[in-house]
Amino acid sequence: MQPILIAAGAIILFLLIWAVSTSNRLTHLQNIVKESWADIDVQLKRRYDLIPNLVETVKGYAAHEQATLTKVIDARNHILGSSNPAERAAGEQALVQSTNALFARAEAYPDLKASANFLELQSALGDTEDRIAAARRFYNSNVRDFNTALQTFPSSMFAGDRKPAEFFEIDELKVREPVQVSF
Amino acid sequence: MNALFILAAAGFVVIFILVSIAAKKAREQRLAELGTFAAQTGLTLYPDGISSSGGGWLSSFEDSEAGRLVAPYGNMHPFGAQQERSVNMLLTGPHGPAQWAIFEYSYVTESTTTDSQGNTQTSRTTHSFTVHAAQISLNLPWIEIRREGFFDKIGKAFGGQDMNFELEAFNRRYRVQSSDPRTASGLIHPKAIEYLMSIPDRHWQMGGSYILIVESDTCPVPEIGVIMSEIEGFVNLIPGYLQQDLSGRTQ
Repeated sequence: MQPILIAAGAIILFLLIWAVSTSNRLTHLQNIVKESWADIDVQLKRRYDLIPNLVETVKGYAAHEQATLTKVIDARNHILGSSNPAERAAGEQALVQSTNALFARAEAYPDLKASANFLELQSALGDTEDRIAAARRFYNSNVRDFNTALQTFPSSMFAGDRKPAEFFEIDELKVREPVQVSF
Repeated sequence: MNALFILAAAGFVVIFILVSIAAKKAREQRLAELGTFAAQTGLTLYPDGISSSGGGWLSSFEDSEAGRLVAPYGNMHPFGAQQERSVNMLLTGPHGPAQWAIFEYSYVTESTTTDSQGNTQTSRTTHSFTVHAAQISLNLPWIEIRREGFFDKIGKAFGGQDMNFELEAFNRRYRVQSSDPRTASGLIHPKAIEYLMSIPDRHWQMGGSYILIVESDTCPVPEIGVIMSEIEGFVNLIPGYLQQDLSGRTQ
């Protein structure tokens, strides 16, 4: 009788330890998702900080592009009010489209394209785009891990009121000039 | 009986001499190949390796030239507190984006077995590796990329964690672990993943300013060149923003 009790006790203890560690793992993954979202936030703010400088620089050379410039500033200001990934992604889409349109318009102004300030901003924005892309990849990979753990058996038994996290997909700014090929 | 014994002993001596001659010839040929390789790449060859003893009676491997050479890779495979460690056929110098140290590293392990009659037998095994170490001007977090083994797959099924990337084929092929997953994710970006999938799977280890690829046994000389170019290819793919971030940081 006693060996059976010991075996049953051992199994219960094992299940208890497993349940606690599985639940803790879900919490850990959820926290990692939150942390990596904070990193995206930091990198996107870096982008928002550069946009007003870009607008000011373009204004100096192409003042009659006011409509395009206003769209960029409006899109930027609209994003600053949103916080969740889905809202943010929609706002980012508008900002990327208007900023890409601004870069396209800049093609018509050789003096602007050659100005040191514009080139510096272009380089800073390129660097920021790489950081955003890396932060987004890291966030999405953590979301994937968290959602998989949340939705697959047996860890799904410990999901509780946790909801799957949202992926974050945005377009990139076309800050880098296309490669010129001449024959 | 006596004649048979003498014949067997003579045979043993002849085999020993033949094996020694073959080993000497193989060593000379490898040295010649390494010499040519060193001349082509601009590296310096130390054919006899470097001293593995510190000189004094009480000095240890750590006090020796070889000990100082491998000290920065102390927490990486296959380095550790082993017996009779030695560094041979060392190639060093700058090439491409890195400062290189390529060498044969070996150590000895002993195992003791006791049979049913209580007799103990000690057997010695020499473990040999070829280490390709590139030192670059960045301070990398600890990252290990290695082929995913059977036990890793089982571990994963039970919730064991490693880093996962966008490409499922890459996740199936490699097990990636890091002390800083965010930076590791930046280093192993889509182009780097594509690159790592296009080359043979190796055991990559990174940490501090070092990137190591360690191969078991003696690596053929042409393979050394291939591995060097693989590491250089990876270094050239490190994004500019990470180069900025990692060049000034301390661990």
